[in-house]
Amino acid sequence: MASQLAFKSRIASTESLEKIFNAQEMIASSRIAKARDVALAAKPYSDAIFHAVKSMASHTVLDHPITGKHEDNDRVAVLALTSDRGMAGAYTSSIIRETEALLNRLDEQGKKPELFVYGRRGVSYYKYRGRDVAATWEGNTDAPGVEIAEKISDTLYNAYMKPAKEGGVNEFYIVFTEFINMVTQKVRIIRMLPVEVELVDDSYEGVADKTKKSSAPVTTFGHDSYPLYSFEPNAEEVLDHILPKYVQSRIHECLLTAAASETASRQNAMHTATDNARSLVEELTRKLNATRQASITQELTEIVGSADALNNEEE
Amino acid sequence: MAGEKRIIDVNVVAEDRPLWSGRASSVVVPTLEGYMGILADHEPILALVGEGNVQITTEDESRKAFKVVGGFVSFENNSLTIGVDKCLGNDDENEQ
Repeated sequence: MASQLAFKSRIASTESLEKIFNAQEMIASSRIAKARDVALAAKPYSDAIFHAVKSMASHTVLDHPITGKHEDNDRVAVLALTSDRGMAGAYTSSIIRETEALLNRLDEQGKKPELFVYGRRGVSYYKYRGRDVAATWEGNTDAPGVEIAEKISDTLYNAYMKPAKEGGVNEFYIVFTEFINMVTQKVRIIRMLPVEVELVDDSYEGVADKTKKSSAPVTTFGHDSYPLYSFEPNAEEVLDHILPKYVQSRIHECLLTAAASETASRQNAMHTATDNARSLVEELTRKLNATRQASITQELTEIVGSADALNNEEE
Repeated sequence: MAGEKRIIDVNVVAEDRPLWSGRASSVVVPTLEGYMGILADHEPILALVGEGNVQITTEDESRKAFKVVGGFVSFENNSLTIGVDKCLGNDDENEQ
């Protein structure tokens, strides 16, 4: 059995770790509310731009590369959203696992995936393994602003709009963690580009309800219920401006939900770590007491034993 | 405009936050091709926003202005949505 001194030092270090975990947990839980507010604040804009795209879809023929490219190109872009910092449980590793699975699947289909990574953890994972990464971004994964969404979407949109012989890609997938609730976050893969346009002959209200309920990657557009629209300066220019913005707004949405998931999974991980540290301290304290008692018992037996021996000598 | 005043529902949003929403009697938007005034029952339109001031005359005749750069404006069924790329601040006149 280890010495009492060893137990004491282990207890002390576990206690100080427990304090760190506890602090991290409290920081994370205070940030979740903020992350949720930020996500809510960005919602009206994404609704507005979704609505604008919808009205365009019903009034012009959406003949734009964004809804589908008709060229022979097997290059595919994959964007993985990881975290900047650790201490978030399996957050980054499950993203990486899903990303790897997706890359393998694409490989099997004979496609050439190109990897884009956001988040310091993911970047260092791929750098350490010497993998080819097309572009990386770091910083603010737990509170992504419009700027970073703009940078990411510009890069990927340009990669998508480039013709095949200049290294353009034909599809664009994003791997991110969806925030379901405080305890459940799920890794999801959605195809961001080309945008799937499904024209549904449905009343406008019905479509609005449907789109509100599901955040499914399929974009549903109503067809016949809009009044005649005029576009300024002209339909093409409006399209050219709105569609990249639409993509950016959807990427931003993914970034925000990923940030909320990261914070939530950090809080969960830290909560578990605090609990574990506490039970470890308890167990160690019990062991420490046992050794202390054992040593006392041993001392007593020694004293009794030597007293006996002395008595025997006197007789 | 005798009799009942006609009102449009206005919703001004920036990429990261909503800026203003409410009811207005008229709105002036800086589109790429110049300022465009919108009153109730305007034709449905989707236009790109350039640089300038969005001026809103609200229901109770107070004025609001937002300095914006880029974005889009869409109007239909007397509801106006302005999605702004960048808002450089607002100067409200007659703010309560």
